[in-house]
Amino acid sequence: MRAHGDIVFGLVVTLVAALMMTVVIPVGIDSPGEVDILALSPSFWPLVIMALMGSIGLVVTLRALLALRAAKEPDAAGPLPDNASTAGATASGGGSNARVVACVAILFAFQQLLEPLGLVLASTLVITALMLLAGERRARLIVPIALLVPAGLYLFFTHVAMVQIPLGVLEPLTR
Amino acid sequence: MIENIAAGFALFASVDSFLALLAGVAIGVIIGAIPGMTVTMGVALALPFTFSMHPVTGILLLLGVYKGGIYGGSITAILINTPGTPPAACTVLDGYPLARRGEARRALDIALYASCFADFMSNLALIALAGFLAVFALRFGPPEFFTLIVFSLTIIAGVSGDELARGLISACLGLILATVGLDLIYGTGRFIFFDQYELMAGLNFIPVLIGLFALPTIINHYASDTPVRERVADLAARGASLADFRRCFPSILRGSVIGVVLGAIPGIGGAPAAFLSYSEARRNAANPDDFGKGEIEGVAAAEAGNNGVAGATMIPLLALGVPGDIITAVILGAFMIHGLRPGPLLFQENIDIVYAIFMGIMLSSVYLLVVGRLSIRFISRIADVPDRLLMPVVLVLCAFGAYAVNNSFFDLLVMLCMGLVGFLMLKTRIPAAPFLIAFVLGPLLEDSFRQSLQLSEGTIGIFFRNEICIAFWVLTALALALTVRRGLATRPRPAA
Repeated sequence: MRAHGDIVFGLVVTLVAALMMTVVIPVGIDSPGEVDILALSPSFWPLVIMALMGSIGLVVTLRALLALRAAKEPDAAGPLPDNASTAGATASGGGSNARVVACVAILFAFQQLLEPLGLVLASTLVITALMLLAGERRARLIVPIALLVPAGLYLFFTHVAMVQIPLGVLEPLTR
Repeated sequence: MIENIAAGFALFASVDSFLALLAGVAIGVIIGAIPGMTVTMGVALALPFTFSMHPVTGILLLLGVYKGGIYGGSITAILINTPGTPPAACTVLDGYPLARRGEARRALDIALYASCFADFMSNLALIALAGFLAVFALRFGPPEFFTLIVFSLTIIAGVSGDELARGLISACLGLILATVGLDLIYGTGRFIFFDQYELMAGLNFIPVLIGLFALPTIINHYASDTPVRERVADLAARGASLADFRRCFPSILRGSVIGVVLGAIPGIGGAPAAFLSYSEARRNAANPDDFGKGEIEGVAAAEAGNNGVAGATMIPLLALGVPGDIITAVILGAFMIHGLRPGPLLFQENIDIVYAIFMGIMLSSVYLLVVGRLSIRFISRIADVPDRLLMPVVLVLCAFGAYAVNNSFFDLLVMLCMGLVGFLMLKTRIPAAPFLIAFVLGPLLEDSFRQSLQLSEGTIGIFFRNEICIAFWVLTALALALTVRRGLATRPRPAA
């Protein structure tokens, strides 16, 4: 199972690298017409990186293919990730996938609401939405946290850190 | 000499200086702990307050903010997987897993002890070796920087855990993302899509850092069907023991030396030192596989490397008048505002001020221990807050922090996009730490490479021009050989 996953992963990485080298880099990087030393061209370094990444992708694919061939029955589960940001749990059911999608949707709605509503009001809404999504239902916790945390951060950043925080629709309240 | 030291002591020994240093350390710890609030910002904010102070008092205030901020980044790194400062991203690797196991207090304690010890060592190096290290650092040109960074990138193997190939892919992604912006030599645009002029300056490091480490944790919380945090009330209060410190001492000492050497080289910063120290600790550990899963030595090594830089970055500033990083550049400004010019002349004309600063720097390590102990007692309670309440608050804190960097909504978009990328990396077992290392070191690597070729008109022999370059190539080859040997030794044999 893991070997199959590695094959797909390796192929995807190789394809992404190839796409970068053939399309994205030529389109996305403006190179001068004449470059005396090839290695000084603006596209040289990105091409080297993507060539390296594509090679590693191929190695991952080949290694997985060899492992698949060598093993009679691939293992069903691999080791847990080393990344420290792993919370120690793996997504399992459709319910958790739906929550992830909802979380991502809330985050992007937050980003879209920042300019019209301002950072404080948008933060209040996102705290409320995320707490409800996580299963918190106690209004006596949600309301004060959703109101006090953005307000407190606003006061800190504005008056202590001297950073202007956009208030959006709440701007008239400060005049 | 005795008279100069006595004169320095007379300048230093004032209530104003003691209080300014203490206040600076406390402010620095708070600022360092807040994601998005950079130490540079803290030092720059404190600078105007120093105008009316005595030069020694003002400079000690700024140094206190600097020292406190370097340590403060580890607090949120351990508690909520959100490094407050870039070097603290290495502390996350083992600090956060320890906190998830209910050992937040233990992780915070060892981070503090390692920080204080390394800071003390760095201060000693500043006082004793300023001249020597400054001369050594001056020998670094583009080829030497290139070979140094290539060697530093071998630490990717140390932080990739068992997934070396994925770690290398992660590093490639970090390197390519670091190329976004205007080309150094020709000034043409690279990956500036959709006419986003903000991309001309490249992606800001802070939103990338916050997005890559904090947001995947938040999103992953919603991916779990069952509560993931094991909480044992007794363990949450257990601090680091003397046995813990003794066990970690070799890594702390090694990390301190690494931090001092790298800190003395202008432009390197704390992040490479932290990761290199971590990688070396892992390489020398009896159980290297425990790193990345909550190994206390990992936290100690990362913090030692990180804080070992703090005093050493003052070496080029004081000895040569060359700021080692942007923070010391602000401190250089403070010197000049007070009519002082760091460099050889400072040691001749204002040696009493230099001694006073040295004394203050030594005291700052003691203050760091005191302020750190006090802050841990209160801040470690954050680990007891349920995730469903904590995660939304962390998100909003990150949003404010990401916005505050440049007063730009674009940085918030970058943070969110990197959060998604980080979550996908998490699910595909791609470690985030190599990405970060490569993103930090990538620009310096490419720039030094291209500058070297410009100097040599395309000849690659410049990368072998002196013993410094050759030494780093040898170290790189050794590091790669050890990595390959370790990989072969631990590779599982196929089933019969």
